[in-house]
Formats: sequence, structure tokens, C-alpha cells
Amino acid sequence: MRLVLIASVIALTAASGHARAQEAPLKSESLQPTASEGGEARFIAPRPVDPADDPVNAKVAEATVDGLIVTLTIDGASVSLDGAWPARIPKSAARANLNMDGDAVRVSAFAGADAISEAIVQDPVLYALEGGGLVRQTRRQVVVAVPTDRAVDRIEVEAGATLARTSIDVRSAYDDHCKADPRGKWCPNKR
Amino acid sequence: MRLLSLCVLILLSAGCAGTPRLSAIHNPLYRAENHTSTITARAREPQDGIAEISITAIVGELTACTESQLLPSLIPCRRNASAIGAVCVFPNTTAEVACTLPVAITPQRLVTYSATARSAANRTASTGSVTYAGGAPLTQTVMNIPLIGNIPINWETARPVIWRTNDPSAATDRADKIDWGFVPDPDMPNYRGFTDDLHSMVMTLFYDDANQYSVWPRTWKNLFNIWAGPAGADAEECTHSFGEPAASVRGAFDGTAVLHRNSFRDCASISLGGGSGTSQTTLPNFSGTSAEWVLLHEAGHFLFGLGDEYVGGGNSSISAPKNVYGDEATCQSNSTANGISSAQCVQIGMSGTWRNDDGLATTMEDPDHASDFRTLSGVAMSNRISACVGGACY
Repeated sequence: MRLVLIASVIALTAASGHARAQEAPLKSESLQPTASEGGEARFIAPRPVDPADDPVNAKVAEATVDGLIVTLTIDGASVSLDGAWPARIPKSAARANLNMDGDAVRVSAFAGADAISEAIVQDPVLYALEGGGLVRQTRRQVVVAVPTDRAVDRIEVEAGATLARTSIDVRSAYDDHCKADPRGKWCPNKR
Repeated sequence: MRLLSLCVLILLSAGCAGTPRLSAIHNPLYRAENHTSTITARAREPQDGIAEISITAIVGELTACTESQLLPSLIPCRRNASAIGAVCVFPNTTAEVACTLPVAITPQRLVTYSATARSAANRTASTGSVTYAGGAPLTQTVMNIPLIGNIPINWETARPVIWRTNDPSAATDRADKIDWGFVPDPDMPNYRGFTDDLHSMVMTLFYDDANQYSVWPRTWKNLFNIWAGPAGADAEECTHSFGEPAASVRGAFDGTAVLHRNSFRDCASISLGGGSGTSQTTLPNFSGTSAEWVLLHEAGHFLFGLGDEYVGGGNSSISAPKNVYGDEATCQSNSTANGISSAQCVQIGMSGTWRNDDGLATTMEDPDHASDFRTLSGVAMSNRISACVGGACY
């Protein structure tokens, strides 16, 4: 019985540890753990894991914050919004300073007249083309993770490398939230 | 600095006498379809022998974290998980032994595993935990809005290939890993082709290769998270565009490699965080180099801000220190400041840019498996490692 239960969760290969992955569908009852060099292998009985005890969930909770993912195309002095999505974003991506050389894109987020957050990323304006030398791309795309604890009305984008500076309305990023919960904190019109 | 690097190296390689040497890896690294994934742990302790290896894994459903958070996440959570595992017992074997745990990968699986080895003298070694995804990816999630209900939205997360998920560290407010993303170019025949190429490139570069150029990534692999992204990218030389769904997922990466099969000149942004570069997976091994060498060279640009050091390359750098300078005097002063002979500063052809050249093959100049990161590029790479170990790669 235990083996049947285990087999429902674990698939196993009949071959060695170097076994090549098989294609679906899988016949789980044919799968077993293996030990080399005359060793003996057995399964550990499965047990459920509470989501609150799951190390991945703890890692994500620790490593992410609420924010807005913004993708932008910067073409010379003009900036256009490719997309914006409210999301849990990695803290590591949500940088408010850039302590290194190179060009930068700065994005400031506003709720009404209030500047509520800022993020800065490297501006990929300079490229190394193999066998072709340095290439300056005045048209380039950046993705910026802006940490925010509330809905954003607009962002101000500044890319000094090509003297680009503009303000972009991002309220439509929250359309799904507003349709579902017009008075919620993630609906910029009804805040 | 050297002492710090040495200590970290020793810790990473777990090399105390009598303690088992242990490694674990899953195969395939990532596949977005049903398959059998095999987690293999290998251990050796030549004096007392290995008595036991155990592999534990948590397998569950990959989610966008909306069961616990209102906003969907770029990096995945898990629910409906079970802990499973295998124990392998050996007769105190002094040769290398292996223990495998097969896992059935069905749609939207997320697997976390670690391994422990015990010697006959009761000394143990454990691997850090690694998380990876498999099966058909998540493409939609449901936002649970209190008192309102469930709202389905289209959503994709980054897909962990090798995600080092040891316990969260409250001591670091920025990432202590380099999150390296890979996405397919449209010239890939299909997504399976992309994941097969990704597997081959990553395994060679970080695990299997035995050449000098891969010593650095093999030594420091535990400082990298490897991620796959969905389709949407399109690259041709230096024109890199990211449409949905690749565009938003890229927000989880420190740098993105666009893998392609067609032949065009590879090109990478010279950046430290947020950059991108192309890499051809179908390059044959030629003149002592390979597709994996090129991938590492391109990463030198878009992950580490290094410039080309060859004549006719992208001779500009933003690394710390830079490996390319606009004049001889600056090259010399920076060489001296970093303990390298200033007499080695040479002009790169007639480019008007300068580098430090010790005469040996270096990865930012020489397409050669015998190359490595040397002189100023070597210092810059060591500094990046120190920054990561200190909790802030960028």
C-alpha cells in the first residue's frame, strides 16, 4: 500500500542515476530510486507540507515587495510605455540607487501629486558587437521594477544618455483591480 | 580580499579531511512538458567510505503566490506540496557513490531538493537546497480580492532552472545571487529546443567542462541562480526586443541571455544589472573555443560590465575596476592600485584604448578554452564575487 502511495507521487527510472529523462506519459509504478556501487535504495514515505512551512514560500515572502513592473522603449529623446503590471517584485531588482558607472534610467512613481517611489536601472545604450566594435543603441528597451505600496497614477522617466524625459500615465495597469474592486487600494481612480 | 576568497572557496567546496565531498544536480535542468526528472547526489570519502546518502525533495504546484498575496509574483510560490525522498545505504564505500531520486514532472511542478551524505566515521555533508520548475508553465493566475472574489488574469512567472533557495537571510537587503535569465529567440525550432540547448550550455559551463575558461563559473556556480523565461524576445546582433510575456518576466533577472541557433554576430550590452546579450547555441567547437565559451564572454559584457580586449571589439568597460581605459596613464594607475604591473598596459591595436596584458589568454580577448579572466578583468570578477558574498551582487 505504501509503495502504491509513494508511486503516485514519485516517478522512477529503471535505469541508473545517469538515466536519460523519459517522455510522458509516465508509468510511475516502474520508477525506483537507485544506489550505485552495491548500495541499497529505498523511498522515504511522503508527507504533506503546509504552505506556511514551505521554504520556497518563505523565500519569496522575504525576497519580494509590492510594486509595478514597467517595460519602456526609449528611442532617442522619446519614451513609450510597452506595458505595466502590478506585481510582487524582487527586492533586488527594485533599486533606488545605482552605485556604479554607466548610464542610468530613473523612474519616479507618483500617486496624485505625491512622489511615492523611485527606481533606477542601467540604461543599455552601449553594446559590444563581436567583431564589430562598440555600438550605441539609441533605441533600446528597459524593464524597471518600481516598489510601491499603493497604486501609481503616472511615472516620470529620465534617461540622460539620450536626453529623454517624459511623464507617462500608467493607471490602465490597474484596470483588472479597478473592475473587481473599484474602492480598493490598487485602484488609482478611487483612492 | 584573497583570504576572503579562499575561505569562501573552502566553504563552497566543503573540503575538510574526513568530510564527504557531496554534490547534487537534477536532470534535465528544465523542461516545460511532462517528464521524469532525476535528482542525483554523488558523494565520496576515500578514507572511511560513504555509509549513506539521503535526498529529500518537496514537490508541489507552482503558483504566482496569489494564495498568500494580492498581487501576482514574478518569482513563484508553491502549494499542495509533499515532502518525498530516498535513502541510499552503502557498505562504507570509498569510491564515489551515487543515489538517485526520480520525480514525475507534471504541469506546473515546483521541486526543491537537498542531499546529505554520511561517512562511516559519522561525518556529514549537506548541499544547499535547489529549486526548479518543470512541466507546462503557469500562464494564468487568479487574484483573490477579499469580499469581492476571484479574478483570473494572464500571468507568467520566471521559471527556476537552478534557484538556490536556502533559508531566507534577514542580513541582506539586496540579493546575494546573480539572477541569470535565459529566453529563446524566435529562431529556436520550439521551446523544447530552447530548453535542451539551455541544459547543455549551463551544464557544460557550470558543471561538466574541464577547461581553464570554465574554472571561474564552476568555482562560483553557487552564487548564480539560473532562470528560464517564456517566449517573446527577438534578437539580431545588437537589436534586442522583448515582447510579452518575456518582457515583464525579465524584471526578475539581473541579465538576460537570448539563446539563438541561426548565425549572426553576437552582441551584448555593457552593463551591470538589467542588460542582455545573445549567444548562439549551435556554434561548433572551433579553434579551441565553443558556444559555452562565447556565452561566458557575452556574460562578461552584460552581467559584469567588462569590455572586449581584442582589436576591433567593444573596447569600453564599466566594471570595477574597468578592464579597458581611454589612456595609458589611467590604465597604469589602476593597474598599480590593483597590484598588477603597470608595465603590462598596452594599447588595443590603434584604438586609443588600453588594457593590462600579461601575455596569457584572457576571456575578454582570446577565443580559447585555455583563457580565463586575467589581470584587471580578473580583479573585477573577484570584486563582483566579494560583493555577492557580502550580500549585494549589484
